[in-house]
Formats: sequence, C-alpha cells, structure tokens
Amino acid sequence: MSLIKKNPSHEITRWSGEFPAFCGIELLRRDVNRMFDEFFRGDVLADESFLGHDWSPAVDVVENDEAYVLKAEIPGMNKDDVKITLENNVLTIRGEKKNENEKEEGNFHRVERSYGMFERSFTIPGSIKVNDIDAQYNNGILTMTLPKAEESKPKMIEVKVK
Amino acid sequence: MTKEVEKNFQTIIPPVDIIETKNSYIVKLDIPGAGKEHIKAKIEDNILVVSASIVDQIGTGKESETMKEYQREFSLANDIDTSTVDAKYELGVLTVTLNKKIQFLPKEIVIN
Repeated sequence: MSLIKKNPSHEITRWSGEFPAFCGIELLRRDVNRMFDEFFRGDVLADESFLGHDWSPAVDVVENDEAYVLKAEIPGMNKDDVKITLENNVLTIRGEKKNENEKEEGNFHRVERSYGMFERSFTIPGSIKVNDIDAQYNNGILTMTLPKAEESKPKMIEVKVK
Repeated sequence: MTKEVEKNFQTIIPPVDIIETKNSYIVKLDIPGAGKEHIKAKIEDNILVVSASIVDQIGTGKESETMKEYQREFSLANDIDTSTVDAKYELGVLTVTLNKKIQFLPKEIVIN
C-alpha cells in the first residue's frame, strides 16, 4: 500500500540566485505522488476527500492484527489547532496551520512549506473500539491508534489432522 | 518465532521557508518526527548543511522500518555572521537563524 517516494539525495540551493522554478515542479511532484497514492490506496481506509483545502498532510496507514495505526505529518502545528472526529466510521483530521511568517516583515526568498486549512478523512473498514482510540502528537507527527474490536481481529481456527 | 522486518530507505529534501529580515535570515525546515538529537546542522566552507536520520517504525508490531534521511544544503551569502548561528527544533520544525554581519546591517546616516 505504501509507495516510497524517491528524491534526489542532494541539492545545493543558492541563496542569492534567481528564484527557481522549483515551486512549480514541487507542486507537480506532489500531485503526481498523490495520484499514485490514490491509485494504490485501494479500498482500505479510502480517502474520502482532500479537495477544497490548502494542503494535504502526508499520512501513513498501517494495519496489524490489533489495530489500525495512522501517522500524519503536520509539522509546525500546535495540537490545539488539530481536530479529530469520528462519525459513521469515517475518521476526519482537520486543522489550520497559520502562516507565522506573515508576522515577520522581510523578504521571502522561499516559501515551500504548506500553510492553511487541511482536512483528510478515512473510512475505517472494520469495527473498532471507539472508546480506546489513542491520539498523540509529538514532534510534528500525529499518531492515532484505533484498536480493532474483537470481531475485526483475524481468527485462528485450528484444524486437526486426523 | 522472529518476524522478518521490512526495511525501507527514503531520502527526503525537507521543504524550506527562507525569510530575510532586517538583521537576519530565518530558515525553517519541516523535519517531522525527529528528536533534537537526530538533527545535525553545520556550516562548512560557507555552506549550511542540515541533516537528520530518523528510523520510522510503523505499526505496533514493528513489522516495517523506514530509515528517513533528510538533507538539504544552502550556500550562504557573504553577509552572514557564521559565529552567531542559532538553531531550535520545535513541533517538527527546525528554525535556523543566521544573523547578518554588523557591517551589512542597515545604517541610518545622521545628517549634521
């Protein structure tokens, strides 16, 4: 399900050089990656929507026997600016990253980081223990653990060979 | 029984904001998920190199491990005082403040 994005490892950026076409290429790269993500994502935790928002944080979704684990990269955000809701088996993360740069007066040489509203929704394929959902925010990464309800866990049936 | 751990390697160029103020350049890089100890910033031959290696373990069973290498380099203009560089890491964002040399700061000239 995951698609590893490969980037060139090395880059030298000139401070005082002309503004490169990097922003455009970067945006295109993100869009293409997103298209691939969409394509490969399949039905598991299908992404309901991301349109109509300013940016879309990168998310890893992992399923194991016990739980679904979601990791969203939202660097620079305060945890109070993030809202997580669960409704009809759809988990939604939304928030707004305010552009703290606007406070600073000066020349903007580069603005590549994302700002503004975001929202991502995921349909949870099986039943989960709603009261045991855990969300933690640490160093710009939001980690959510959604433990599976007993009926969603894989069952082991022992077959005795006679 | 030991489970085989799937290992991945990822090289990432972190997105950056560079703001020039009156007295300094402020460089902000998104490096989510790092600890302060994972991040290295150095200036060598007037090039600022920022890097971080993060091992991202996904899943509670740690079935998969991704080594994320963040790196970005910036060649610095001559007006930067490399002896007073300040860096801080907060909420997944590394902020490097590069002060301008005194002789490059805007000066008001008093008319006698």
